[in-house]
Amino acid sequence: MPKLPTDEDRFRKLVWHGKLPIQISLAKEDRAALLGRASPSSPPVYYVMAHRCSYLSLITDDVKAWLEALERAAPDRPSSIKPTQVWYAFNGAPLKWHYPIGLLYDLHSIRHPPGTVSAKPICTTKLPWTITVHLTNFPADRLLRNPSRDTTHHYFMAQYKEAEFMRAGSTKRVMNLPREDQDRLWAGLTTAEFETFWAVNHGAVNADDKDELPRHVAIRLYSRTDSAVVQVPLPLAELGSRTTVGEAIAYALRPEQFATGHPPKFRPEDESDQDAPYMVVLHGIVVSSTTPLLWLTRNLCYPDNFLHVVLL
Amino acid sequence: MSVDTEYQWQVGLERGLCQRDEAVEGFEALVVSYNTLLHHTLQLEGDYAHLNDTHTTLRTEHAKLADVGAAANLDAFVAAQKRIAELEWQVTTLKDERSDLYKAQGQHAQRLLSLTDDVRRREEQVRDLETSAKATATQMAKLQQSVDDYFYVLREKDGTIQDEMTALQLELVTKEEKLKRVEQENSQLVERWLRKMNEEAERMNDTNRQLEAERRPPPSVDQLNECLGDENYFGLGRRTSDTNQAPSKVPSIVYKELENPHHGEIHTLHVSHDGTMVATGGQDRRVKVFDSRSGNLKYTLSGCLQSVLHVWFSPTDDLILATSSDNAIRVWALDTGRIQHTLTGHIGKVVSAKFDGEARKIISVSHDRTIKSWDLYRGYCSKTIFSISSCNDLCLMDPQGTTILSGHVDNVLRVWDMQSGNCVREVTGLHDAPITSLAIAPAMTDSPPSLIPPILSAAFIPYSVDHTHLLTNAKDGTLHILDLNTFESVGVLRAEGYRPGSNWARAAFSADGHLVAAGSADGVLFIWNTRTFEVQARVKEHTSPVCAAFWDASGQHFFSAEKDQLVCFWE
Amino acid sequence: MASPPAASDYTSAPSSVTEGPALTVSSQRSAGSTIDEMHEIAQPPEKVVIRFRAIGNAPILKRSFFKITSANKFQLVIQFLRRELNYKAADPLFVYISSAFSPSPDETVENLYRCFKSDGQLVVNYCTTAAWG
Repeated sequence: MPKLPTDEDRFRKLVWHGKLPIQISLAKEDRAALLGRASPSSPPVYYVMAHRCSYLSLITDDVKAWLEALERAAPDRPSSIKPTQVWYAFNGAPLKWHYPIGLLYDLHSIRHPPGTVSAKPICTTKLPWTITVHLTNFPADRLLRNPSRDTTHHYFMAQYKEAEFMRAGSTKRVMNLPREDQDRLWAGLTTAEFETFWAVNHGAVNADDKDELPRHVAIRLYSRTDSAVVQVPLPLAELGSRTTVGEAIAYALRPEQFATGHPPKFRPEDESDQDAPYMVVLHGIVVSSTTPLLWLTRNLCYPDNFLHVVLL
Repeated sequence: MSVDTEYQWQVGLERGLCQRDEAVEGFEALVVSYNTLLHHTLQLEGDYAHLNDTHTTLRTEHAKLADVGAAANLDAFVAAQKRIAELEWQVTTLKDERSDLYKAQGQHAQRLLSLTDDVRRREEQVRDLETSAKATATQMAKLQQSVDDYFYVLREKDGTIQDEMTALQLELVTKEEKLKRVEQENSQLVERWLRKMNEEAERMNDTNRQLEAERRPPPSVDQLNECLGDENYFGLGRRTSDTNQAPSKVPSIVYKELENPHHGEIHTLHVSHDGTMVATGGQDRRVKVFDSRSGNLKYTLSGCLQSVLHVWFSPTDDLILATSSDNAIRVWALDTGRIQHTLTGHIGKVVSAKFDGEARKIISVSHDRTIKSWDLYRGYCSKTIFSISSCNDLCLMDPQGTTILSGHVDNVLRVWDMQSGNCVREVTGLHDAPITSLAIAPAMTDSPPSLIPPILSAAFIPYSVDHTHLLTNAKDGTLHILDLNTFESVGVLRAEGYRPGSNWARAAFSADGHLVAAGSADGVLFIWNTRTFEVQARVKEHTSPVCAAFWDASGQHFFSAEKDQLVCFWE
Repeated sequence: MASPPAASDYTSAPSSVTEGPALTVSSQRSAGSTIDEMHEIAQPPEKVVIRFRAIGNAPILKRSFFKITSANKFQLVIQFLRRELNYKAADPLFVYISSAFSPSPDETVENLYRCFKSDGQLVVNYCTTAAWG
């Protein structure tokens, strides 16, 4: 695998430091409860420069502080905000807090310009990403419960181990990490410190020096529709180290992979172009399908070492 | 794949990511500033709302208070006035109380001062007492200690004394036993002596009887010579070679006086057997021998360590003995004037001593209650007899000195057997006072054998026949003449105003035995007649007690000495 | 590590879960199988066999093999297990795949089966305490 002449971590850093401006506005139904008197003309909004790699539940603290400040401003004090009841929605659709924010954005906001299938899509959603925060009526049927910091921590580690299991066939390497290192992973993520996180991640998981091939590539394919999340073991040994993304996706979406014999539909709007190659969106950009999968795995992973790819 | 194509995707990716980031960049600063503004606004709104609230509450409170105040103003004023009056009254009372309290405090302070002074004084006293108590305690301890020590010492001493006592008791017991034994021995000895004396007496009687039988034939020249020797013994001079000697003269004229022959008192005097010399001895420890005719000092014999008590010429007049208070008897040779013998052994003063017939022995008697017999050839004491009581004078009954008579301080006359050492006879009841001198009577002439016992006959006759009478002189002023056979008093010589001058005042028979002379304490010489037992003459010459008076062998001359150093030669 | 959420985060209606013996599906692909096996491409079955394995003090089920329609979410499996164990919603129950990790309840059984099956079964370990974080 020829190494880049430039900074090795360049892409990793670009991925890591990717930010997304989010405009959070308080849901209508909660405005009255929180503010007490007649709501002002413009809904109270809050802006956040969220990390693409982070999680929504981790923003909740800031949101809560803002809401409480709003609260204090009001003469009569309504009940306090329960962080576990806080949930976010985009265009009415609840946002899964256990997905990375970047993934959520890719999933909900990247638009394929109508009519242009083969043209490279560009990010057409206006920024900032406007979402609403709800304080009540937690949709327990569509979202995982208890979106607290600790729960997020647990989910993150679980996904990390799952990715490791796919890559190496066991979670031995992660489980053998000393406690401090495991904590450092999460600490690095929450504080957005690249060095802290990658010091552990680099040594334990991504064995670049040794040029080992992961057994399977940890990749998940998402589509706009609710249903389809495809996770298929992609044996690199069989496919070869120079497999491209396009080839891998093609492999992954073979009908035989699926119990029903039908891969899930990823592009509901354009059923006619069923066989046309998908648009691979990752981290808010379109990835060329000629990109080698292995390189992608190593450099454009999310912190949990998964490639959360949205197919358009 | 060419290098370009290989990297194309990468480049595309990079470009895409950068574009993405660019699009997002601008928002960052915006969001931050928006958030700070929002924060500020909210804070201000909050503060404003809060202030509003407080404002409204204060206003309502104020309004309330104002209402309340207005309504209650007047009442409050009146009430306040009352309250003020009350308070003023309270203040005055409190002030009075305070002044009272100050006074009381002053008084208390004074009392406190005085009390503290008292306390200090008491403390000082206590301290003094304590120190004195301590001193007393230490002293007591010391005394106790010394007492204990003394006790200890006492106990020890007591112990030792006890031991001594027991030892002494033991000694006493032993001594008592010894004494008993000795007394037994003594009684045994006395019995033996008496037995011996009886035997002697029997022997004497036998020999007397023999001699009586032998008296019939006239004595031969040999016998005469023998008697001469014996005659010397009886102190009679050589002149008396026949039985008819001139009768002794009563001294009447002093033909010679010796004044202060000695430096001290004169204690004794003796005439030599041949009558040529007179010896005196006195307090000045010297024996002076004078010529009896001229009174010239012939010899001065010194050597005694203390005063001379008794002098006696030996039968042959070549020796003279002197006994002295220094418990010794000294014998001088008269031709050389040098001491021949010093006989020591008595432990009391030697009051009297006599030579035996051959001047081989001296028998002495002393106040240590012993009679010692000294052998002159060997020069030591050959016999010591315990005489029970101190003896003042002795007489030998026979020239060998086998039997002696001693006169004692306990008024008793004792007869001793020198060989056995036993007291053959004790004659008590004679005198009421100590016996001071003894003298054996020489032969008496012109005496009918019927009146005068044969002992008073001439001295030529062997002794055992002639000298059977004894003159005892005692301090009660009586002189007894005893029959030596029976030891009964033949007669008593008394005189008014006669008292012996000292314990050693000597009385003497005259040469013929008719007269007895004794000196009295007032210096008067009494002469008795032995036949009539009456005072024949009183011769007053001396002024002090007469210590000795003697006739010479002829009986014509008389010598007397008084204590105050006057020696008189009489005719 | 924070206590992982008890596996009762979904209240979706459970679809059919049938009990039955293990289905032997010919030549299934398994993560970590040999190269020969990998060459065989076979369709994953509509119904997937799940094998429950108790860990630690967890009670052992009478029957440990179950079939489930693969289109279901994993949440269903968790709920089913709770019912089988008669656990209430408050009782702690921790579920793991192949003794390795705890999957998100909204992952499909099909995905999990495809990726983590072993010997034609998806091994689900359960325990009353957190075993692997």
